[in-house]
Amino acid sequence: MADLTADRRSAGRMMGGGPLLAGLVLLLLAVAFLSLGTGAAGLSPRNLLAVAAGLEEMDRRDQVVLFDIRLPRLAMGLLIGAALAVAGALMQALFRNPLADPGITGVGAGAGLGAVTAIVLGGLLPAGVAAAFGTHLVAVAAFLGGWGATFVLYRVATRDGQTDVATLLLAGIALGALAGAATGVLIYLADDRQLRDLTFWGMGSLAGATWQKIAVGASLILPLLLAAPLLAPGLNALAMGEAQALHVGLRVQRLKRLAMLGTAAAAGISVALAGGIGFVGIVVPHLLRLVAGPDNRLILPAAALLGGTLLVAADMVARTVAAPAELPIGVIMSLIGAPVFLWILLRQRAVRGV
Amino acid sequence: MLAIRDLHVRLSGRPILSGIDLTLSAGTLTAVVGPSGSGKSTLLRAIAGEIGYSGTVALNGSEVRLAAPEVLARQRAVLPQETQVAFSFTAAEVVALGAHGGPAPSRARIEALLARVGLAGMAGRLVQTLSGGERQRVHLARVLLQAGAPVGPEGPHWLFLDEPVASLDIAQQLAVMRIARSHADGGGGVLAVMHDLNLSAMFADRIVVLSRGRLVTTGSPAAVLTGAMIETVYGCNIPVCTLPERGPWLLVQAAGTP
Repeated sequence: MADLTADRRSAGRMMGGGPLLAGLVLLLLAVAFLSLGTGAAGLSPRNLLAVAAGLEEMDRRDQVVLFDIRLPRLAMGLLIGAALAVAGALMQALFRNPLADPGITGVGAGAGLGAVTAIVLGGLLPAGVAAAFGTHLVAVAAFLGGWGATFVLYRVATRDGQTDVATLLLAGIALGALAGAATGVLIYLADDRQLRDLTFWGMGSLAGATWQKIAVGASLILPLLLAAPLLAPGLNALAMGEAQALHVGLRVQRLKRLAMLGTAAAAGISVALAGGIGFVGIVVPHLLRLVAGPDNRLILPAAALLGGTLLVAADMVARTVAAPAELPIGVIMSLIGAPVFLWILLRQRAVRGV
Repeated sequence: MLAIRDLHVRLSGRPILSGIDLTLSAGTLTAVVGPSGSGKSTLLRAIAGEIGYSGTVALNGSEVRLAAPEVLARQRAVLPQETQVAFSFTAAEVVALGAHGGPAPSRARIEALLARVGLAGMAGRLVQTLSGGERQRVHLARVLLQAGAPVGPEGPHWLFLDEPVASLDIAQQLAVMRIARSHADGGGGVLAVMHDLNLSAMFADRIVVLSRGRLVTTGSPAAVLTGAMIETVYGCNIPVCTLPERGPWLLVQAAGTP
């Protein structure tokens, strides 16, 4: 083990895998506790501790705040943050580039188009169909849009079973532009009330968290989080390039297909449940790689933990800086994430000597 | 045995290799030589199962085109001309990728392989911070880990090396060629794309000459590396002398001399 420690130092890594995961679990618990004890309606962390120790009783109002507002919101934040971070990590390994993100492959834009379509044109659906989906219509449409974008992307960028990454990225840009334009047309058609819905959905929020939504999200996201690390050894081999990964025995096309499906699912579900929240998928895997190296066997589970933690923390800020009003969490994440994105870009430029 | 019959490769509609027939035995080191653009690397990529081809390429008796990647990986290991590793992996982590799909190699095994390629003590270095020659040898260590012993339970292990000495100094070139030679002497197969004809003459049992996608000639270094062949294939006049016990030796004169 001494040698591995020496390796870590020589590679400039701060932590090994075990301590990192343990630290992330503790950080998640701490942030979750703070989040439960933070908000416009009183009920501080101290109250929570006192209740846990049996020194205080919660009144009816506090119980509603805790169990119907803060707890679902916490659960939603953890799920969505984990899904976004894992989607980013998968996509970066697939594209062999730390700047890759579901956002740039058109998956987010496709999901967005689905949601906007549901908001603006949902009224045109036969009453029976609309009733069947009920309040979930937007979510289901966003999910389908994300899948549709992935499917088209894959058909465009894949030929003879080979996916060219440059084509994939460029096709993603084109798809994103197309989905953006279609979204623009729909926004033009929207009435005032729909515009208000669109604006809030587009900025992203965890405010709509209900136990029902969480049940849907958890049933889709938790299996994804558990399955993603199975792809890690293949994704590590893929870091050498497709030919070299094939040489060491990897079924490259199958791995790429699974990584793309995993990404689309995670990103689509996130957009469906919480709207457009950017940069989690960029910031989280990048920080983890800086601290502990790029091994996906560690990065994928660690990204799930840190992604959830980061989103819950961002949500805490969103809820408190302008209390009792609330900032959209997407705004907070962009404020943190966009500078990090630029910083990575500058570092890459420095490495390449551009 | 590696048996190539009527191999044709087209890339983007252009014929790159035409009608290659070649049979290589395990236990030998074959150097593939020829001018730049003659199809050497394409030949290596085709027999590695990396690109499509028509004709047959039978490696230890099974058709490469139809073999699953994990099956091929147990039969042959491939060193490309250059490998760009994305993200900051250490040398030890990259070497360990040679064991993909199998049990993780021990730390001692990785260090021994790195020492064998002249990179003792470099296990913890980030591959991105290494020089081109060092990086290439990290990948050679990975290839050696994948290949394992020259002969395994499923038959001989093959090494396909694309310009393995291209970015190395002269001592490292010799060291790497000795590693390839010992793999062949142990009963494994080695096919190396080479530019250096003298190194090829020193280490290869057999030379394969490609020109414009066709196999021009093949045979022992003494039979193939003649002034006439070099004149025909490379289009330049280089004196070749024969050293006792060493075979043909090319005398490349300083520029400006006749």
